[in-house]
Amino acid sequence: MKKTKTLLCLLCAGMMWLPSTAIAVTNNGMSAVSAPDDQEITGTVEDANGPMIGATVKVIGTNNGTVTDFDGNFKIHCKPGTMLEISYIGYASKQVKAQKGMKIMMEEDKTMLSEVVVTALGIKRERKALGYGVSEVKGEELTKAKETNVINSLSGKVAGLVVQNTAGGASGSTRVLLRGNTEISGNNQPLYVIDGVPLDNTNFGSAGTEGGYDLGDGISAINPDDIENMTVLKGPAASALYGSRASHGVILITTKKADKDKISVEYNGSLTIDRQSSGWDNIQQVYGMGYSGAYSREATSGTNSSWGTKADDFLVEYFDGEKRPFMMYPNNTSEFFRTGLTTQNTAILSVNSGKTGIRFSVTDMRNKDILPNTHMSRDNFNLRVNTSAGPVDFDFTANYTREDVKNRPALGDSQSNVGKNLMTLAGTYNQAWLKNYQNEDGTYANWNGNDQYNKNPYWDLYKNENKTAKDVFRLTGKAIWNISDHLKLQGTIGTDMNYMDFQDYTARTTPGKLAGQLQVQKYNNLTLNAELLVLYNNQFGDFDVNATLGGNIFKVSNKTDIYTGMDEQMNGIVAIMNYAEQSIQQNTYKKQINSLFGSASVGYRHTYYLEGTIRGDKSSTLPINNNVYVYPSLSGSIVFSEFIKNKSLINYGKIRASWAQVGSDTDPYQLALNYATAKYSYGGFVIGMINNNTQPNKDLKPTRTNSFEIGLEMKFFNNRLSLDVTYYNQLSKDQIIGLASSSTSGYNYRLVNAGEIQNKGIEVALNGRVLAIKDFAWDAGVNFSKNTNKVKSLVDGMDYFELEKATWCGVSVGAEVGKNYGSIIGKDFKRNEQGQVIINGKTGLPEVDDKTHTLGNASWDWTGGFYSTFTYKNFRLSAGFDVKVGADLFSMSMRSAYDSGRASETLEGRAEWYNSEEARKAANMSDQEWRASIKTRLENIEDISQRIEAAKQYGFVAPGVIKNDDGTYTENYIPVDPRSYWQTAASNCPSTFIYDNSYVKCREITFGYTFPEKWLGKAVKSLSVSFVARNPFIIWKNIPNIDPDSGYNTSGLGLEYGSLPSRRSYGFNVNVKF
Amino acid sequence: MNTKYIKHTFAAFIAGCGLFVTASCSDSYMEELNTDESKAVSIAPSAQLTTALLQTYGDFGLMDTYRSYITGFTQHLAGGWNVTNYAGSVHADDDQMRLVWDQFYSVAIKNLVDAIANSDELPNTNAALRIHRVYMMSVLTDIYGDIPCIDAGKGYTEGIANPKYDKQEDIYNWFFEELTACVAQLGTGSDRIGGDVTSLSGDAAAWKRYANSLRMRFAMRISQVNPAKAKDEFEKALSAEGGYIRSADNDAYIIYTDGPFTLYEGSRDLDFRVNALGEILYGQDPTSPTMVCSTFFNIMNDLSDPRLYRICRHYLNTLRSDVKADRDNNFDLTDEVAQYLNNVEGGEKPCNPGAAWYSDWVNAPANDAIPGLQKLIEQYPNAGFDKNNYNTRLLRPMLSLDFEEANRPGTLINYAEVEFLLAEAKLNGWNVSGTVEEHFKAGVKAAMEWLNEHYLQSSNKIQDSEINAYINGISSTLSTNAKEAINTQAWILHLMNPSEAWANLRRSDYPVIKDRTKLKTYGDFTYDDDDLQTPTRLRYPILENQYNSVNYKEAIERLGGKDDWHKRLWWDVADINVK
Repeated sequence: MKKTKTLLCLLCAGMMWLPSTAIAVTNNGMSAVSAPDDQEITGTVEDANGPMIGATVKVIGTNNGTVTDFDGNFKIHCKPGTMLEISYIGYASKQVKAQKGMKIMMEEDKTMLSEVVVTALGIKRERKALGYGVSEVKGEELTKAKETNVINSLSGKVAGLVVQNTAGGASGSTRVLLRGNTEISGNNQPLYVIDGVPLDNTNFGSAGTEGGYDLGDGISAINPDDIENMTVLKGPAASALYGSRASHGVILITTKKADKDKISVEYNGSLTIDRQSSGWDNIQQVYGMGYSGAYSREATSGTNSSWGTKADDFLVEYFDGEKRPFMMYPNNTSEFFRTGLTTQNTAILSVNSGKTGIRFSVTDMRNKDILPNTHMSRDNFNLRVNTSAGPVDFDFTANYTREDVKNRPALGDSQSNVGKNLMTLAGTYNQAWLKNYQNEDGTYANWNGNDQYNKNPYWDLYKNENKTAKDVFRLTGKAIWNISDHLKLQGTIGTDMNYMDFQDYTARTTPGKLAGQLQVQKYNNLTLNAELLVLYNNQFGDFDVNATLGGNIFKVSNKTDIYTGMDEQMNGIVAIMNYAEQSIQQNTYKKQINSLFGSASVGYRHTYYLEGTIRGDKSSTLPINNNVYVYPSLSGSIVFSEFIKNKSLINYGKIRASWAQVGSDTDPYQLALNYATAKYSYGGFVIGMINNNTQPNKDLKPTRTNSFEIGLEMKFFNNRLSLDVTYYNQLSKDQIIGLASSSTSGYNYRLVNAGEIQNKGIEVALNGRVLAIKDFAWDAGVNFSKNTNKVKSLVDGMDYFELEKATWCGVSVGAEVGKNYGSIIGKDFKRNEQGQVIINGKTGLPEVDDKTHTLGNASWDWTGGFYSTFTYKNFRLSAGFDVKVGADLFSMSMRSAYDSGRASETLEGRAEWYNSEEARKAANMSDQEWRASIKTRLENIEDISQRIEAAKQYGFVAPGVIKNDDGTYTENYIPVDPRSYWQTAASNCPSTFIYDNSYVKCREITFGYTFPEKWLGKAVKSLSVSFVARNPFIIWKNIPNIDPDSGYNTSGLGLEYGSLPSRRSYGFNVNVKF
Repeated sequence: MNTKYIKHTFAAFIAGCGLFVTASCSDSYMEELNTDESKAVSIAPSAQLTTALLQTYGDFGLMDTYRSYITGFTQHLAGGWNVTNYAGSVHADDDQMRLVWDQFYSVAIKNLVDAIANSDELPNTNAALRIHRVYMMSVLTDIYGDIPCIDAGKGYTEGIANPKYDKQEDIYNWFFEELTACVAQLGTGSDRIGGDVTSLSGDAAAWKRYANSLRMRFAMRISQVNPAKAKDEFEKALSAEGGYIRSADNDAYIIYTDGPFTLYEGSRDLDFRVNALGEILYGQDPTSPTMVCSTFFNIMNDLSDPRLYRICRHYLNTLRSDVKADRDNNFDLTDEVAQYLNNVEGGEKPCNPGAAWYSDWVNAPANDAIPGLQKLIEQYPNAGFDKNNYNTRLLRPMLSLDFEEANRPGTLINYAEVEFLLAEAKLNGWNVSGTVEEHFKAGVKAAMEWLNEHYLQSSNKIQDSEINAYINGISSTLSTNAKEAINTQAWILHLMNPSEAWANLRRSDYPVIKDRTKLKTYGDFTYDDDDLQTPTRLRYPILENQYNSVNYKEAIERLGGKDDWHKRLWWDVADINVK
């Protein structure tokens, strides 16, 4: 409760930063540094309504500039007579000669009042003409505190956009959700479109219930230095023109073109050190390895059980024959991790000559993760050429990315998950001893009875090895034929080629895989996009008209070959040939969507706008008679500020509304049974079988999503404060889902058109300039979004759809009718009507209900973010925060902490139980006899609270009640071994380990300084240096020991197991332009 | 630019667009694109028969259910962590119980149903497919009780996504009808039963004998609950066309290869080439070998059974291959250990049900107390033979490697079992030729020869003299309690056929096994069931409640409103005899 209050306070504080006045783009280049011969020029800027606050005054051709204060006054140092430029958003810029005591009258610019944004199909539109919400993120916001995957930088920046990373670290993938989950199954991720060409964001592989690796995604190959801006189109209305693939929203990325300068060279470099952020620190530091309060005879078993004796420094012989004191190593888990290092260096060359511009960038990223013996490098080469020939403009990009990763971390229940194995390692067992992971002959050094579930983490990182090599080629070409001022014909072709090799080597003598194994996965993915567009715009009197007509072909052709070798022959030769048993598995994935689409919009007097779109897709994945689907959208807006005379309070206001439908297809080969033969042969016989695990459906229909959205955009106090509010309601019907079914039908899933899922929500973004005093400015913003994600129906009487199953306790996460998406379902203790836990009168242990219950929900109640930027002269300090509230997480890490006696809470009753056991042995009584005698003794105490107190002298007394024969309840007074209690809970009762996963995180802090131009020589155009921090600290979280962003994959929400600590990074960034 | 020009361009563009799209838009093109080139659109039913037959004992992914529960319930095995944690401490775990259900339905049953529907032209193959479906269903119903049977596996072929749970009585009735029909159908076609990886080698006549023998097994199964029908079916099977299994030559079993163990990963790839029951009993590491239960050990010991030390061995190993049951690193010290235990402990002390091998600790021997141990330590000083309790574990009897090898047969029904069925049928007064004793003795002899033929190393086969001596010795048990004697022998026979072992134990209530409720409990395990008596069925997968709720709830109603694993099945009319 207390924590919640703190959180609220923080949020309020965030909101308070948003005061009353106008926004102005913070100008990094502002400078008030003056040369001695300059004079101080003062002046006032006003408009029809009086003084203007925050107007920019700049000496033309320099970075020398300032902003006006509350009274519209400014001071600037320059020679009288030099040209000043005064600008203000929504007003026409003015150029005037500098003179003392000058007064400048600004006039509103009707045509300039429009912010221009990039919308669907890459068409630039005035923001006010749009009937749907868009958010923009500038490229410069992404390049300071760099993430290794650029998309992670969006955390907390855009209302309604939720970023979730996996525990996989730098080489892992990222899950992005816009306005919640709209599909019951499926990836729910937005479509990324780069300069008009959709990106292949295939997630090559992710960890599932049985663990695995996160093999990364496509978007991570985009270099932040190449990004001009990102536009987030939320909801189907915005993306109706991208079709099926965009039904979860679109993120448009516009990359940089060549600079206007003839030749410019830019260098951007950053170096950060990475350290672990969340630690495994809320653990007991009293009892060491072993079972039942006793020390194992040989220190080779019970290493991952902390139910042993007290760590009292007595000498114990360990697996390597050495004797060491039995003592606690308090930071045992943390000490395993090292300090990581990330460097990113970018060089950009830009050449511009007449109509031709060439921009070439090279980026080298290197990352040493906090896990020892891991490494990652990514080199990115990007060439962009734009030129014109007569009326035709050409634009070409070629991008090549090479990525090498050594030792991706194994996640989840994987036996090689280092995090999982370290978590349960007893506090008395120093992980550093495990550095001797092999015997002289190179075989696995047995340290815990060759327990395959708790392998030596050093062996996994040094002897076993996984390697990834990825080559990505992206080529796009665009030709625009400017037929007339009003008509353009545009052709775009783009292709994405992804070649990835993942090699996972398990050395011989690895517990659980003694014979060794090698698996090589080869991915060969190709996507092609071809598009033709006719664009028309014109003005007829008060009417503005825009129209588009186009056609698109989208084709995917992926091939995956998996080679497996088992039983290594010659030691250490990592080649499939070297294995006695070899097999190959081949998979293909091919599909094509052909589309035709058009849109038309009309604007009247820059005040009323109406737009309609229509698109028809034909998908190869649907049955012939159902494979064409057409869907429309309609949107409109009214700029009501046009009716307001006095604009001193509200200077801009717009309401907008839109309705859209989007159709969607599915994966290929799901319409009929197909057959395969087994990977292995059986002398002369064909082992053949139905290949489908999901029951095919020959009558499949496309999915439909209908959405409605209204929004309000306002700007106050001459743009100093802006507000954007959206309400949306989205209903997805006829979803194509692989519905989990009874295996008795022969199929564990069946493909059906079913279900309705509704997303309703509200998004608010508020940005403003809090303070602007002379050289000082304070900007702040906050965004908030609340999404309710209701599963309205499934199919024939089914009320639950499983999305992901947990390894432990039979827990699953799924869609439950009537509940929010992401119900966590599992067992709970048996409870009476009052909700008290029922304790078994014989055993003293809680009884477990044989029915499953909804134990939590993995969807966020609301999410938000806030940022604050302070600018003083050439200094800039900025911080961004990310808030997520209300989702639950089944922490299997904590489950194993309790199970293994590592959790602090397992201390209760331990000493008492061990004493009682000693007394029992002294009395030479059996377990049963001893318990009976204690029971009698306790029952002689009449007063129940005294009785419970007395019981606590013999062990742990589980909270709960015992059911009496007459149906009444008595408070439990039976002492038990705390280990029995916690292990009962750990094996049967997941409800104990479900945590509120809410958090407030500081995502980034940057502190930068831009050197004044005058200080720089002739060669250097600009130089800025910043201190940067990514994820520097978690302000608030509820879950002990692990980071709330710890899912082991990007689809299964609500589950966490063996998560590696999250990383925080600090460092420097230098940007220099020549 | 004039409007005419614009119009032309527009028209050209539209036409271009049209061509551009239609070129790659035809239905046949789209259909072809949506056909997986690495997969086939049809397959020979025989290939599916192969898959279903091999899965029976070849699927590692379902063997945990057998090991964790069934081998413990029958008290063949005890002491290994899994057996002790689940069966031994009567601890229900959905993930361990549901495996046979999930794997059989989603692979074998699905493919059998599909192949049956596609094999009208192949009467012999069709009959074999149907017989194997009956066999698989019998394993399922004898484990879980009422199950989806008639409707099962028909998700695609007949659109039945939610199969109803048939009553076990109906299922057995259907078995008899189906087997009768198949026997009649076999031999009517000219097709050879392709894909037959059993000892029956695709021979229709052999399949007839097998089907009739199965019918005898099922008849005996219902002999307590419906004696009249049991007698009728048994006698009909005896006299049915084609006959029944009358010698070891007619034994019906699945043939597995000597391939490598591939564990859970292999199961995911549907690698069913080797006997996965042996594979799981071999275990995945040296610390988890399979231990023999005191009940099994003592019954053989009390009757001076020559199989005792052919089934129970004492191994010392710190290292083992995981691709085969390897003898190189499993040092067999049985004779020395047995001698040591006799001298020091007054005999062997196998684990009781519910105990782990380390419960009631047996003190590790001094290294030189067992010369072989001493020798190994000297020979391999770094192997750690006296570390990590390997030397203590050595003192508990383990299952012989002979039963854990990859190419051991997967029993369907063998001659020995048929003789035991005949012996009991005769005892019941059914119309069977010969005497109870003749059939009983023939059964015991065949059971030993079954081991000789399929399991034991050539140097270690049971000699005829041993067999004869044993048979003569146990004749007296027949006069004490013939039903007990017969079914105790059947129980020994069924060691490597867990589903039949458990079913026949519950049906006959013999042999007398240990009363679980009177045994000790240990702190390391969760005894969370109020009733610690051995369960009589396994629970349904929990998610059936959600995925097939209407039918599931009906079945639960018939169980008395609760998925109770102490509830006896329809054919199981009395409790197992315990002591």
